[in-house]
Amino acid sequence: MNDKGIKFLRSRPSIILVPTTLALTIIILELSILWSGTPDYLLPAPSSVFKEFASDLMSGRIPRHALVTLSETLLGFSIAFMVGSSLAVIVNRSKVLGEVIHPYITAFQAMPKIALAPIIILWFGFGMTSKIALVVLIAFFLIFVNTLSGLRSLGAPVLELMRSYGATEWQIFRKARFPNALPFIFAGAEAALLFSLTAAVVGEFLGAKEGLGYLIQLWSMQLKTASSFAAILMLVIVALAMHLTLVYIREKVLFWVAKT
Amino acid sequence: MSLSRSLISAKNVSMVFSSRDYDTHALDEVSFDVFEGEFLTVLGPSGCGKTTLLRILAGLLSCTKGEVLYKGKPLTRPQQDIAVVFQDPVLLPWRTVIGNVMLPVEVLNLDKGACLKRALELIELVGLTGFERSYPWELSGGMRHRASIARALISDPSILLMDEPFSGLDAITREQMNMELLRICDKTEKTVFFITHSITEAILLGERVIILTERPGRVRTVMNISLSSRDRHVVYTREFGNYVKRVETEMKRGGVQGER
Repeated sequence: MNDKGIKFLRSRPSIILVPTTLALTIIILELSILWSGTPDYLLPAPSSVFKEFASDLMSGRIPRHALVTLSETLLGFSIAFMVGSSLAVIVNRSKVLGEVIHPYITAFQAMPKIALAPIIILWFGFGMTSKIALVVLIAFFLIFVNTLSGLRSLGAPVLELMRSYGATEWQIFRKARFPNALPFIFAGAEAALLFSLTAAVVGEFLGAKEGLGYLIQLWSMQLKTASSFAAILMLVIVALAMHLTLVYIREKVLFWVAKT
Repeated sequence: MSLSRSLISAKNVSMVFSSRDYDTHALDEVSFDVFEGEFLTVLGPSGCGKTTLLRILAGLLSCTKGEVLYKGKPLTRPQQDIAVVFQDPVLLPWRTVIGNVMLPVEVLNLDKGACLKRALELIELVGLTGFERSYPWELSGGMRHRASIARALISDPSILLMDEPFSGLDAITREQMNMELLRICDKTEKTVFFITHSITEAILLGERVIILTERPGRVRTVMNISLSSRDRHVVYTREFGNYVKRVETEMKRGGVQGER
């Protein structure tokens, strides 16, 4: 390796350290499970999880169920995003509405919304609709609250500047308030997206005919622990893919944030 | 000076901020004129209502008593002909220098094509050529102020209201920016209303200095300044020192301590 390459790796040691520690952890786990004679149904060795993962991936079973969970998550998240952010815009415009709605929001925020899951399933059935409803319920508040505080975070100096040119409320919104709120909106969306996946999986635990949560529940009952872990591995992949996509978009859109 | 037309005329302007528990008298019966083409500085201690006065002249605030006339007509809301340069440059971080300079054009719905040409000329005038496409975080403090002056000039106002525009800068940059401001105003033939709490700045920049009292702000005296030259070396001359002495005496008469 040339000098430049070594310098690059020195400046970012995680490029080497992360894969190394991961490999080491897997090897230690594998060996200790093998030597201790832990039964597969309690804690499967990484090798059996990978084997199950590979075969379920090939058979198309895991991708099919992952697609269901992913659709529920993204659909619910999108609905929550549209409703939550538009409502935040409306509430921000009206002081009275903001004051009236505030105690409800606080109460709802404090409530563990996942507790509503059994009732949601009772209302919407075992299909995808109930999971989407649950996702909306959980993602909505995170997005609403973050968007609202973002819209309210516009500093007095910018407001004065816009007003000194006689800007209308709409002009202030478009040119200053909305772009200024974007970092908050993204922070809310990032948190909401991961909570959405959790909500979809919990919904599938409680009553579903498909989805990764359904698979994990089913296989755990059948003591197919290695398969369950394979499904969880898929969940990790889905979560990471969603999260990294959003982070990528954020970096593109909010190019100014890290700099100021 | 007396031959010039009065651009802004403040007549017995009083301002009281009422809160539930007490009233704050910010300004008391303040009267003065801003004549066309002059550089008028307003000198007063912190908290004497200088900023309040500027906000009233900018049409951002209505006085509780008295009136402000702009070209003979009552001034009640922001005018395109009056531009404000705030204490902070207040640049929008998601816009480039040219984007920030063009902001008033978009808000005021002026002709974009003509203004773009003008924006480039102004950027050259304030000495930011080559930084048109730079973002605010890529600029130094002084450069940001230059951009904010270019933005104030884009709508071709007759008068600039400046609220301690360089007080956030280090002493060297501040002195440099003051000289730049004189050059720019000379070239554009703008009327300037410049608020400061620095005696040196007030005398160096102003053709007339209005000295305000402590809160509630009243006009203590108006002083004509005629320096033989207005460069940065003039501050070391006896002539300049005499003005400083006179201003200090005036301020002490009211028990006011100014900052050199």
